[in-house]
Amino acid sequence: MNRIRKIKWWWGWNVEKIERWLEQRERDGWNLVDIGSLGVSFVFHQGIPRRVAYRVDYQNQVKEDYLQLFQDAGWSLIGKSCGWYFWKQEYTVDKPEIFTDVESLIDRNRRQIWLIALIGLIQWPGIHSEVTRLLDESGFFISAMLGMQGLLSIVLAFALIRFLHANHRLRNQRILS
Amino acid sequence: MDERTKIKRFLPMSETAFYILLSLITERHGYGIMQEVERVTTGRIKLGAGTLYGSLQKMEKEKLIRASGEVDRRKLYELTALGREVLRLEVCRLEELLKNGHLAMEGIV
Repeated sequence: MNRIRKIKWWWGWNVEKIERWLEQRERDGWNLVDIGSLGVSFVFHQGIPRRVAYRVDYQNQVKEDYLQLFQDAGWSLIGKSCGWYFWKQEYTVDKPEIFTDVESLIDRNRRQIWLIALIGLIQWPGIHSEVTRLLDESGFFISAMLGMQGLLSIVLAFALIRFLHANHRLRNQRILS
Repeated sequence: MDERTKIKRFLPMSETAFYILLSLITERHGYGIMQEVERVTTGRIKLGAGTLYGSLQKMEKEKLIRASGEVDRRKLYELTALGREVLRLEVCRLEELLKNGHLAMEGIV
């Protein structure tokens, strides 16, 4: 049996991209069998072309009924990574959805926004003390730390802007509600 | 915050929220809600599992519904007194919309 592993990078503010990619692989006869623990490596078996819906959700923490509800609705969990849940469901005519209103998509992005804001906030005391120490004495270690944290802050700020923008776009979809 | 102001924050509600509350007049679990909503809207509304899960979390937090038990490892929910009152006021609001809508439409069709 033919088996391939593919690495595919994707961003949390644009999960449709990875969903569409996985669905296309299934239509081409490559059935997804496993997802790596980082959520970017995907293992496929060559099989039959199928119509499968893939949906990606993000949850900070879930209660037991989260999994139960999705399973009752016909979804199976194919992978989980850092709060990202990969759900799949085979269908014949109507493609199933996990989110059936704009509000829930906005909420999913909002959960990410909170997480990013939290990580950003806990960076601050560190950055502050490093800057204060650098003003007194110069040190390679402190400079390197500051550089790393600075870089992380930039990445976080970039992600934050993308998520806020995604939500802005979603809100604009609602015209009369 | 008095009771009236508190209730007004919930109105008008989305179609999703309306049908979830409506179906919880009878105690049900999540999947039971999905089936009931699909049935009463004759298939027009199929609630997504993610949408329903999020709504139930919010409604429980706002004390519109409460967990009332468990069956086959599935949590059961029912309306609270606040939930019933919010639902009642929403139905009154919808009645007004419908009445005015019909009245105005009579003139043009």
